[in-house]
Amino acid sequence: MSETIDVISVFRKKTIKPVRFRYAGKTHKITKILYTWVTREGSFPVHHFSVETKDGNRFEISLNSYTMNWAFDSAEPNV
Amino acid sequence: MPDPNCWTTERVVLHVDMDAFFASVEELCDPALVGRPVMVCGNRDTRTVVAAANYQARKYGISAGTPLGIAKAKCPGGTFVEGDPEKYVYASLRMNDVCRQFSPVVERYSIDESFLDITGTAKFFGGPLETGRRLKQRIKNEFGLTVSVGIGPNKILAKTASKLEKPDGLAMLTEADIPRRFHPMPVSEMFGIGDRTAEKLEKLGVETIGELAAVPPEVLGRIFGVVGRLIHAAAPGRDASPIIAEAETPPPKSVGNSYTLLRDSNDEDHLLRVLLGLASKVGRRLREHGTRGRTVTLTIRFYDFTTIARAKSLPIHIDRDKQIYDAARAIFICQRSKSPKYQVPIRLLGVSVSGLADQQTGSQGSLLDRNYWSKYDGMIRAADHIRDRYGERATTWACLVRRAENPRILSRKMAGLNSETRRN
Ligand SMILES: [Mg+2]
Repeated sequence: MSETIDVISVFRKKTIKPVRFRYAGKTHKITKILYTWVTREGSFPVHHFSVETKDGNRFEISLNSYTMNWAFDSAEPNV
Repeated sequence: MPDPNCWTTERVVLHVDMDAFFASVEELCDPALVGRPVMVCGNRDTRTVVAAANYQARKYGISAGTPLGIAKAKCPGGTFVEGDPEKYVYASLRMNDVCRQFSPVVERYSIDESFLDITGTAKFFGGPLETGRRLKQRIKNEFGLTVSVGIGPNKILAKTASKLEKPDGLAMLTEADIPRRFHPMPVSEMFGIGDRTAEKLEKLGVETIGELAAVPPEVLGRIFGVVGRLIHAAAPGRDASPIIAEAETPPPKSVGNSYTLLRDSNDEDHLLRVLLGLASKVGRRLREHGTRGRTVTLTIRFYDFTTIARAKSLPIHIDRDKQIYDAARAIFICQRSKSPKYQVPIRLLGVSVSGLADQQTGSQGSLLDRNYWSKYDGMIRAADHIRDRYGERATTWACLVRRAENPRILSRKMAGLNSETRRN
């Protein structure tokens, strides 16, 4: 199950850009959005982001547009 | 009907094929993978096969379909990534959005391939090759993915051309190229010829597409049946089949789902629950398509990979989970009781419904249980509404909910389901 997290993000010109998020008692600054994709929970889009943070880690986070919750989905899932 | 010969020469077909698609998307998500052999798989235990391999992994002789155990042996240093189909479906749909900016007639042939009919639109982009070049550039700019583009007077030549310079290729085959470039190719390179057909042909001494074109159709028909006539018709490089745009996609001929169990199982309660889950998925999809079917097929793959498929035809067309489940369950029970060789652990179960008809023409029959079914249909409608709005996981059957919590209660629920089955 994904954990709900706090995210600071910029909504601009119909785009969403997460800037930093808090996870495991630490603030992670997002330096690069690597890939984005959209899935659906019923009729509501869920926006997914694969992001790189300042310390060089990679995370996947998502925003559910119905609950308006940001979720922490995985960390370095491929390693 | 237009004359196929002059019609084909007038058309310009563009085939676009993503290079190592799933693996490339994973490389975008994780740049650390770039330059390493990457294999995308269903899950990382050894029960599945490689779904896609990047070009580095292909150097080790690994391709889509290689069993995971073998891939791990061939390339122990490779990275195995658990695939996420939703990522790829999204990229595929976005790629098709880009394609539609080059032609209104786009056929999504598979998750990573599309055909575009650019007969009328190529001139706006500077001709066929320039259209291909721009399309490649757009996809590269917008997604960071490379594709191979092939252009030809029909689907066969376009698809063959896209393979010529893969990856990141752009090639064109015209009718004039058929004798010089298309016919000398090995038969295995031809669109529609699988490995096994190619092997059989090579045994017959047919190695190139040109040699295939020279084989009389009767001979191919005798050996390969309908497929033989199809490949004979395709070998000269002529093909009048149209590009079928999304909106015209014909309705499905069958709707099915299958599931590989996490562990081989001989536990009938568990297997029946899996069947119910599958029947519910199939029912849901039939209702979404607005169709009903009257033939239910159950596929069982045993632990040793022997596989049986048994069908049951019904007097009426159905789309209700329960009716599909009842039919699949009846086949399941009947097969299992038939022979001890079928009472062994099972690896995979599949349920499909075919013989489809429009929801309006298909009858769900039986006035006798009208009261029962009208209540049932009301419940299904409500459940479908909830799933439309909140997602597929929002509702399910009680007996499919976390069994481990209280096996006793849930097996009673399961028994309740079975008794309902008997009542009807
Ligand atoms: Mg491909």
